[in-house]
Amino acid sequence: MEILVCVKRVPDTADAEVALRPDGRGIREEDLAFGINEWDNYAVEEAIRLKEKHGGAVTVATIGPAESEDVLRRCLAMGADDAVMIDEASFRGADPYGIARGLAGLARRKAYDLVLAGALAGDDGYGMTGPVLAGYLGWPHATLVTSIEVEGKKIAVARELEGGLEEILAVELPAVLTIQTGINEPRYVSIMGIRKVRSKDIPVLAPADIGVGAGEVGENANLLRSLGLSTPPAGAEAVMLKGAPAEVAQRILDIVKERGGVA
Amino acid sequence: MAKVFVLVEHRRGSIREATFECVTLARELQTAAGLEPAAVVIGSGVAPFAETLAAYLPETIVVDDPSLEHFRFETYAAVLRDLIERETPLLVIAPHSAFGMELVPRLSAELARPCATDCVAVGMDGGALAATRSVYNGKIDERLAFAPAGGYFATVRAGSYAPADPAGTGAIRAHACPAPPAAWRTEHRGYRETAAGAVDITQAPLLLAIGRGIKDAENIPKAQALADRLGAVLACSRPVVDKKWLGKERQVGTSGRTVKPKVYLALGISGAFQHIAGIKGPGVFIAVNRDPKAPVFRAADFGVVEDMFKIIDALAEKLGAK
Amino acid sequence: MDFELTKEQKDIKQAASDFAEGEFDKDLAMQLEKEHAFPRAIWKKACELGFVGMHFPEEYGGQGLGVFENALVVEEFCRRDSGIGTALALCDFASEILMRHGTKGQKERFLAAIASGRMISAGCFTEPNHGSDITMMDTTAVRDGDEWVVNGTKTFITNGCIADCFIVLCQTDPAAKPGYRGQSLILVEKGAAGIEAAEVGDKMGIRMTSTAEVSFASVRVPAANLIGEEGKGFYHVLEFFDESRAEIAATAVGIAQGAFDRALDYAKQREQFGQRLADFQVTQHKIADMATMIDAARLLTYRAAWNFDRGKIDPKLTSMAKYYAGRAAVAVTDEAVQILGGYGYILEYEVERFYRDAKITEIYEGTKEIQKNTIAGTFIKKK
Repeated sequence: MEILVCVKRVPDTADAEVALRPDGRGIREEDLAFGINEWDNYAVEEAIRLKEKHGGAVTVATIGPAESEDVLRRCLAMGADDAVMIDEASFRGADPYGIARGLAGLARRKAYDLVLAGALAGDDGYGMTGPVLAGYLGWPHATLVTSIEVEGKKIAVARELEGGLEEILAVELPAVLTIQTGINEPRYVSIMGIRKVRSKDIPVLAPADIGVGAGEVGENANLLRSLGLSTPPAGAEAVMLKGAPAEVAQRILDIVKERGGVA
Repeated sequence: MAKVFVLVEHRRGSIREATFECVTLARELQTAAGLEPAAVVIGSGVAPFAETLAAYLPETIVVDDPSLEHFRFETYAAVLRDLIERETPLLVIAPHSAFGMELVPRLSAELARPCATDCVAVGMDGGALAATRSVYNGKIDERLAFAPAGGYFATVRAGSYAPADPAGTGAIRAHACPAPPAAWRTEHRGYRETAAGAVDITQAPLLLAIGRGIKDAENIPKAQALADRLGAVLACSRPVVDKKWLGKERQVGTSGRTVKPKVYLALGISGAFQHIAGIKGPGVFIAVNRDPKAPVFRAADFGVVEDMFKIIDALAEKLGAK
Repeated sequence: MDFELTKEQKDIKQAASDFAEGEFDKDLAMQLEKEHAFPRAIWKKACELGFVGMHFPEEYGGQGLGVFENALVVEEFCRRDSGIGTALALCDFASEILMRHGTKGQKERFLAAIASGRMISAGCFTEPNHGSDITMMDTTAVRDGDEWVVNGTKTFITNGCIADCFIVLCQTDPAAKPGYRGQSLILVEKGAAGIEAAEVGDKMGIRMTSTAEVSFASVRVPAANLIGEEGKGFYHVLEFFDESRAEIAATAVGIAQGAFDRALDYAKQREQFGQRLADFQVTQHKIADMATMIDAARLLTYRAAWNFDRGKIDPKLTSMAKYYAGRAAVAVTDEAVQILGGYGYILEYEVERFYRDAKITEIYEGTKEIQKNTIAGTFIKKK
């Protein structure tokens, strides 16, 4: 099974203070730690497990600044076979459509059976690169995948729905899947793994190599245009639910049902 | 007049609550931008859903066909491509859920109609549609505009709009299901309930957390019974563990576990920062406390000033009636 | 001059940090420390991932890396948890002597076992009557046919009660002048008749590490268990100290950094008198002092390890690193407890454990006073 995994280097903002740049067009990155997007890490692990079980090879790819190479090396150390970077310059500021266009070009370079991506990224959280990529490739897709079983030319996947429910979907290959956290327990990177990849070459492809013409991607080609970032208004107090205990209880149950994943 | 479509999300015989939040947004856009709202119900035997929606929006479009029994991207997208080409709505909105995430982004790419996902707000900005998204773990807001196109999509984060109440009687109109292709490449095989695990509060989607307000060890079973009926895992704040009424594995906070549930329901917890710091992620936080000045209300999304036992009893009664 | 880590070093540091974050559980740490127990399950996993014996050659189960990479790993481990980190940093204690002076057979047997998590090693140097002064040993090893017969008592032996092999500094020629020229290293395996080990007592810190008195009563081992040259034991040990000082310095840097992280976190969250603790100048100055000391200690440590790996053995530099990093660890953990105030004194907030674990870095592997003697001795020669 030939698998392509699309990964992204993102800042860890869960426990960090996030401040805006003075121009309001981005965040201050200096004090943030960067690493592989959490969802992508599960995707890489899943790809490696599929390879270990069914044979084939795993290629990891990213579109991002030069530092993204750290993330690719990490994936190689986990057990991916190859890594490739797409030169970021022409993709700078690209929206998920632009990124998906580049990844589609990359996916067409080899006969992949499966393309995996994280269900979403911890920075911008669009959750759309995977399915948009599937659209550009014209392949079937499934999002929020929590298990994969190979059945010859088909796979059976579980998709995570709300309310402690999954749906089982059979999908013909080749396909694009976006991986939900918890699908597996990603392995740690071993020192042996790191040493194995120390002399591994990570090629950097130009847009022309993946069939993307000048001006087709990047900020000016975006379908989504940022009007700027801001800090959410501080000190937001809770919305108070008022009424008799029975009414309030009903409101609580409504919220739980809608948001809690419990029917 | 240009239209705004609300894609109705339903599963296993009922309309999902998030749909009605999208209805609220559609109504807002009717006022702010003069868009004409319509609900779009796709499925098999979905006439009753159309009846329901008709009580919310002026128009409901129904596409009813046996091939649409279970939601799948392929079948729904075929219907929507046809419908959108014919009706050219300016905006199509759907919940940012397992349904919306599967369906909308790819459809938007195929139709070259830009989509803003996981929006916390959608409105007008200088005569054009604009969306607000919450990024970087909710620490930053981003405003987005769409590049000019024939129409747009938006998926809406749950809880961003209050669910709508019924208002009036709308028209219901059937739309024919387009002819299916020679073969489908995906197949729905069924649903599966995911098993409830052992006590691991870090993995639970729903936490019922109790604090000092529980007052006595003999009240613990009451809270546990409610948690069981809610399908929640029972968690607690420091004082409850200190008194050994619950095990340490259930404690949320800097000296306990860090949790990121989808819903955190805190009963009788004052909200010391050590406790609050243990609650992460984008879930919704509901706090019940007798003290209106309790700091927990500064951290919570929803607050109830009430004796926690009254709420426990009322919840138990509601659940019993189901 | 280049202060950047190589790509591989960055990857190693990140891998160590990810492992520690995933495996070092606070509740487990508190339980192990209460029970005085070595973190055995975590140690096994760390070995499987290649974090132990990284500096051993590949043919002996290692990764062919250096003290520098070792330092990066133990720093990350101690940063996450001072107790677990220290226990893991010391699990292959003194194995470097085997690596540098052992026979092929010894290396094949022991280094591979240590790196793969099948053996824990101990270096038996200190004696009840001699402390930090190892120029004269009461423990003797006497040749008897094809065997060495070891007699004597060693104290403050790291891993004493859990070790599978002991590297014992013995007087093999009591008549040698000076005495240290008559010392040799003998390898003793667990299970040999006549070995007894007992914990020295309840300890202030590093409670997941065994610290024992180990006695040898006519313990017989094969003649082939001599490590290195007969009569060169003292020199082999001194050389080892140069290496181990850099590693201990790295544990100190990690402990300091871990306490700093927690204190900074707290200062940003905690509000007093209507503002964050972090907004008070008194807190800011504490944070500035702590961060500066940590970085100075880290730079000295990295330089010492870097030099060692390049064959530039400089006892002054490794002594400076160990002395200053220890001092930084004690000072920084002290301030961290202070910043947390009452909470800092409570076990669950962890900084008190870092504080207790920091102190040993000024004591073992040569007290800070011994380090200062070494440093001063390079400037002021004995008359």
